[in-house]
Amino acid sequence: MTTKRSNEWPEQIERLYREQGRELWALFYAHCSDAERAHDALQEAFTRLQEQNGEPIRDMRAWLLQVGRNWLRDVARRQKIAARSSEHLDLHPGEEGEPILSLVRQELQDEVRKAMDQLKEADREVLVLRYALNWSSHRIAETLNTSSSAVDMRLSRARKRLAEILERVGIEK
Amino acid sequence: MSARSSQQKPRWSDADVDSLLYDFFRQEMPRELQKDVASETRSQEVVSSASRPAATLERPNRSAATAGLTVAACCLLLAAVVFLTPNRNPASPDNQVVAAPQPNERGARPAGTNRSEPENREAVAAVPPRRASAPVPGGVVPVELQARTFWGVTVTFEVPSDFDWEQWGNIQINELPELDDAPRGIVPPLDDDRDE
Repeated sequence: MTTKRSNEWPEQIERLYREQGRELWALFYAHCSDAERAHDALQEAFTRLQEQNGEPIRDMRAWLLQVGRNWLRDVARRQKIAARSSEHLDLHPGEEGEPILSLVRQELQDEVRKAMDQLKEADREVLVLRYALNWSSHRIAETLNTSSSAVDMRLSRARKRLAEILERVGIEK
Repeated sequence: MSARSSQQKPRWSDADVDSLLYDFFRQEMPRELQKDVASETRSQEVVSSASRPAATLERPNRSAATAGLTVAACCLLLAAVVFLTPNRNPASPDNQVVAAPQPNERGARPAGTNRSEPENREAVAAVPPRRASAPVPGGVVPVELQARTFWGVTVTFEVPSDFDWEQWGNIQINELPELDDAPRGIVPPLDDDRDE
């Protein structure tokens, strides 16, 4: 995809964001296991895209992915990634009617987040593509340049590892 | 004795982890990136070359069952259309394709046929025409099949210019070569209006 005129950018970028935002967010999430940071990386990538001022880009998706990942690496270099705590941004405030339920849910969310953080990036990658994007094994395989059976195997292994971590830290189902 | 080990705790099954992760990512994903099914489907058609194929938005372990149910429903519907059609003639011989303006006197119709089926005349060009051959007295007439609302197919004939439409009656189809989904039973002619 090649850009043409800079005055077309806002619409183009908006459309691209709608089309590819979820997938890119998921891949950034797999990289950093932090929803907020993945979102920041996504915004950063699209901001940089806007700053390109119509410079032709051959593979827009790959470019955005690279920019976002580079940004994540820079951020990780500059600051230590501290364990997420309960002050983690509540992305869905007010969703639960019951405060206690909301608290319990938030706690579980934090624990799963920590558990996800302990997984390898490859494991996180298949999990986020399957469970955040609802992708089939076939589609995941195409994106990751592997086979569906390899994806299924990796998914199974990742689920098992996650379950082990959850059991180890005492999270009950 | 350390009785308080983790042996009492229920283990996480794959289904438990499935459920947990779907919930987890639903909460985790920023709201502005959460979209409805329709827009997701649209966008997936445009997305990058790396994610070309259409993806189901249902959970993958449900999609196979859904597809199976759809296929079963279609089969049942097709069977119902074929066997509940009023013109179906159960006494007809099997393994015979007959498309027959019978060689009787002008104006007469073959016995047991019925020409007026107005609801069957609505041709729909949903399926490209297909051809088969049907033996008739005196030779083989090519048959062109087209989509039609009522039956799913319409039978028309390529006939010589001197074809006698007055003698044209319904045809009996029991089997058509190379056409597994052909309807069985009596199919009325498409151009009934030519009788006038």
